[in-house]
Amino acid sequence: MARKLYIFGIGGTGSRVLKALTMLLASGCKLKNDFDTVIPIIIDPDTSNGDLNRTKDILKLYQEIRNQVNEPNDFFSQEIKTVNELANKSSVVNSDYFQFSLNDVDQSTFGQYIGFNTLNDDYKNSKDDKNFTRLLYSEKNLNSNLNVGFKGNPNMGAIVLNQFTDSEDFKRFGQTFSDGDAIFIVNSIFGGTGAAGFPLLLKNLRGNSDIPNSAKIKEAQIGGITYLPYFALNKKDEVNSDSFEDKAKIAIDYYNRTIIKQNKVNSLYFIGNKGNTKHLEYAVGGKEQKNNAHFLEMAGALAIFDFCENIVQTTNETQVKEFGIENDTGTILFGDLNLNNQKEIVKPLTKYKLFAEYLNIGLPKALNTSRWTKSNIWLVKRNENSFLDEQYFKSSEYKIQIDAFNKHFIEWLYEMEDNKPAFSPFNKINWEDALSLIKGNKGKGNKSFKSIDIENCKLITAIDLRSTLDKKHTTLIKIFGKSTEEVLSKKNLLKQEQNG
Amino acid sequence: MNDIFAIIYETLFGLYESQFSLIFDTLYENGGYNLLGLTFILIPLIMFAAFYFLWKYPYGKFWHWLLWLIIVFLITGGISWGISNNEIFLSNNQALIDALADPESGYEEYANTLPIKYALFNGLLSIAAGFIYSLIMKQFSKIQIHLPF
Amino acid sequence: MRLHIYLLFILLIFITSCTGCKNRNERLNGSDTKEKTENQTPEKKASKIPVERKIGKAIFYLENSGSMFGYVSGFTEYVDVVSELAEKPRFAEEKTSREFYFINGGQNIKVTNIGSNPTSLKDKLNENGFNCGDVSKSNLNSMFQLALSRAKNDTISILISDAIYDIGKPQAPMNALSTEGRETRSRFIERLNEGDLQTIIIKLNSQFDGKYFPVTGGSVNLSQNRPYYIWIFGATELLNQYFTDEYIKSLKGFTDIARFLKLSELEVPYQAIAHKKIGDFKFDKNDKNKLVNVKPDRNGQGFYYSIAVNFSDLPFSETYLTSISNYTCNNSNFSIRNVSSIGDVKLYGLNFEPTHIIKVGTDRSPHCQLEISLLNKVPNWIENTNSDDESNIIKDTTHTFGFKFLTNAISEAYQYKNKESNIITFKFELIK
Repeated sequence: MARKLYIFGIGGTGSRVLKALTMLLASGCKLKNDFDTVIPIIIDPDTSNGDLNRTKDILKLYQEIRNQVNEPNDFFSQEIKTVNELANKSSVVNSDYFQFSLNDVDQSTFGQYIGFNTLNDDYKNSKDDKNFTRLLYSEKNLNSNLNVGFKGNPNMGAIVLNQFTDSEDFKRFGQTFSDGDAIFIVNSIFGGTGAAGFPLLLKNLRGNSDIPNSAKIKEAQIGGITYLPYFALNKKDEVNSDSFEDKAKIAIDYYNRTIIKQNKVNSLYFIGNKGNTKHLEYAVGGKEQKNNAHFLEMAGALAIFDFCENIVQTTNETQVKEFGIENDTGTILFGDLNLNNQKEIVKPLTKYKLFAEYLNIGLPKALNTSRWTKSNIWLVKRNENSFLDEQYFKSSEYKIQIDAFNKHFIEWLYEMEDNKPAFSPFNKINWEDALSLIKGNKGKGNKSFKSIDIENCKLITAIDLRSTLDKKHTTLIKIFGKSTEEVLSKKNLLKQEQNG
Repeated sequence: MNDIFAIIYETLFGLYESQFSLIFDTLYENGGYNLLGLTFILIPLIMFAAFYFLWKYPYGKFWHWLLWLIIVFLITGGISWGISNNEIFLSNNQALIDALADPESGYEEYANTLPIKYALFNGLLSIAAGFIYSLIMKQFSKIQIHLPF
Repeated sequence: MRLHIYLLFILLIFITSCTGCKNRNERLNGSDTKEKTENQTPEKKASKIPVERKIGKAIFYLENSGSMFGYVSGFTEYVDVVSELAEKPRFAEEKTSREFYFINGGQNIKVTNIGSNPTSLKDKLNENGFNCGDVSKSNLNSMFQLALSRAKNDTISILISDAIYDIGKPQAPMNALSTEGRETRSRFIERLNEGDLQTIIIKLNSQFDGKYFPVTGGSVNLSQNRPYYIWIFGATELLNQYFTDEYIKSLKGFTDIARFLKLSELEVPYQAIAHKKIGDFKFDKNDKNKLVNVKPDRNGQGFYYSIAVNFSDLPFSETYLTSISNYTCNNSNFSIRNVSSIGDVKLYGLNFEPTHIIKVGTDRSPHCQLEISLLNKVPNWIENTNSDDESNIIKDTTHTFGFKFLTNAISEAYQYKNKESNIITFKFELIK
């Protein structure tokens, strides 16, 4: 039974977690329990948010690449679709479809949005809404421009976000919902958008009968992950990272009373990191807010896998889970992770990393020399000639899609390495020692990219790898899925162990 | 088989002098031609089988193949030189031995020019054989299928 | 394109196998002959193992009719030669048993035993000694018959005579001579039927002082040189050994010699060789006398090759053997350039000892089945010795009346037995 998983990523954190999830899916991780399709929905009024746009771009590239692979079963095996595609049964890939739009936030201030100026200030008749409102919102709040989010003020976010459940996008979401589908919500408790949006969304999902298929949705499995503080800002201005913890406390208390005790979600995951955090560049929304990828975002993505794996149709009690690693260290390697997590991500990440590095470092040596890149071999059957020739690697599809995506991937890994705590399981490699990319694991024998080229030569003629004119990336994606796996296991590089 | 090889060396390459017929009769009779023929057939066969099925280097270029062909040529030539030298000068044909020993007969002088000729011609034959083997074997090679072209 | 390569390959195999087959057929035929010769040679070789035969007995018959007296009138060449023969060094050395007889007479032939001592013979070599038996007649044919009959196994017989038939005074002397001749022929044929026999006719000259009796009657006194003849009969092997051309030529008054022999007993191994060849060819692998890829010289010098032969089985003189006029080629394009003794030339790869090299070739197309024959020529002198007319007997030192009837008879007898007029034929195949 094919099931869909709708993932609502709220705010900046939501975007970044979705990004991490996409990277894991590209590496070959797959949701269990028949969840064929992932439908990411980003909710963020801050339309020019750097994180948001990056995530949307990555999601778009993922779709574009996957559309060009015939029955992917390793890299890019998980299908990602937008609500738009499902509702209109179209296959148009547009990065904007990943986001639900919020009306009237583009040019307004908060005051304008709530129609502050039109509020009654007749205090004599106890109708002084204006002043009442002033109790809740500061001048600053009222004058903030909404198109950069809520700047860490959930009291603003709560009001604005309320409207989105009336939006067309949300209605379409309801239309596409089927039996067995599930929902996962990503938010952060210290943000402006996330903190407000999560309970709001949940309230609508469980209680709003105006949504199409509201009955199904009400009974559906819903999971969520809430991010506790895991970074600080290097400046204190409108957004004061010192206030993150206090806000968190208040929010958690609210969650406890409302969400958890009332069993509104089936599984709730918590994740955060105290102390030892990096101070990030101060930015107040907009494209400047482009936070570097953090290990915890990837860890949060793992919650999604856990949610699907452990999905059970009927529980009444909310399951609460927390994420941890085995070793308290400032630089996290694979061995520091829990064995189960290692099983999930070591192989896929290593494979994809090897793949991406190969295209940068290893390909030049093989291009036009190794037979798997040659399409002009004489005296052979037609299928012995390769699709992956110089022409392919110079094509716009390769450059715009594969190359671009891989750049994002490498960047994502690099940012996590550079963050605090650092996630740095990989060594810097060159052509000679490419296969010793995992820290602490030397492997045996020759470690250059040569092994990959040899495997590619052997695999290139397999029938299931043949690209067609409308599925151009089939060969590349599938062959490297196989060859990286083969080489890494032959050289004994995929063993998982606990660091002591 | 001996006949076919005899035709190749004597007729095709013209390695025959009726004046010194003893040499060529001995080569024919004692299987010298067979050995030479097998040399130019088997050495390229083995060498190119190794090239196409044992050599796992994925960056093989045309010059690798060419170099290999040259090595085949040299090995075949060397072995052929050895075989012909042996068969002519260390035969068990007494008449030939006597003829070679007699300086006036001219046999020794003439016979000394032969091994290098056999080496060269057999080397050329091994190149031809190697080329044909290459065209056939490459079809079945996973890694060197693109060589020589 | 791949298809073309495969086709080419298959074609290559096809061609090579075809050419291989073709040659194999030829070679199979060639190998047949090879087998044949291989089978033959061992036997021949067995018989060739020289068991040096020795003459056990030499029987001398001296014609002592009246016409012979002139030869013993003094110490003539005749006396010298007869003495020499009687005491041939080898006979003396080997203590060969000898018997000496006088022989004359007509219907009833008269044989007078002189003994076995050469000394006793010498004492009789004079007119007195000759005068015994029936000196008035001489029946040549009976003499031949007797001498022939005694020459068996290791016995040889020697007949010394003037070779003039005694035909009485017939009306038609030629007819009579012809009849005599035919009888002679029959004698020889009978004897040849019984086995190997070589006949040597030696013509010698000697001083003759005495009476000559022409067929027409009467007598003529002569004092001049006259020819007389020695016939030697015996096994070819024995005669070859004891009576070489060299020896015979050393006899005093020697003029000429002729030999008649049974050719089938002779073995003359031969083989084509490339010695001093002009043009080009290859030896067939299985048959050295088959030349393949025969090509004339590029500069127009024609095509010539050589034949190594072992003539040691033949009793013929060096002169005879090296005279190119004694050879013929069955193909008129070909000719013998020269025949020479082997000398210092070293040849290899022969399974016999060569004695001579024959150079043969042509300036025209050389491809044929070539046969070169050594002719069994009756020497000219025999023809020249004959005379049909005795009228000029005085001063005639060379002719013998009716000689041709005698020698024709012998020659015909041998021809009849030999069936082959050639001593030996060399066969070659010259192929393009």
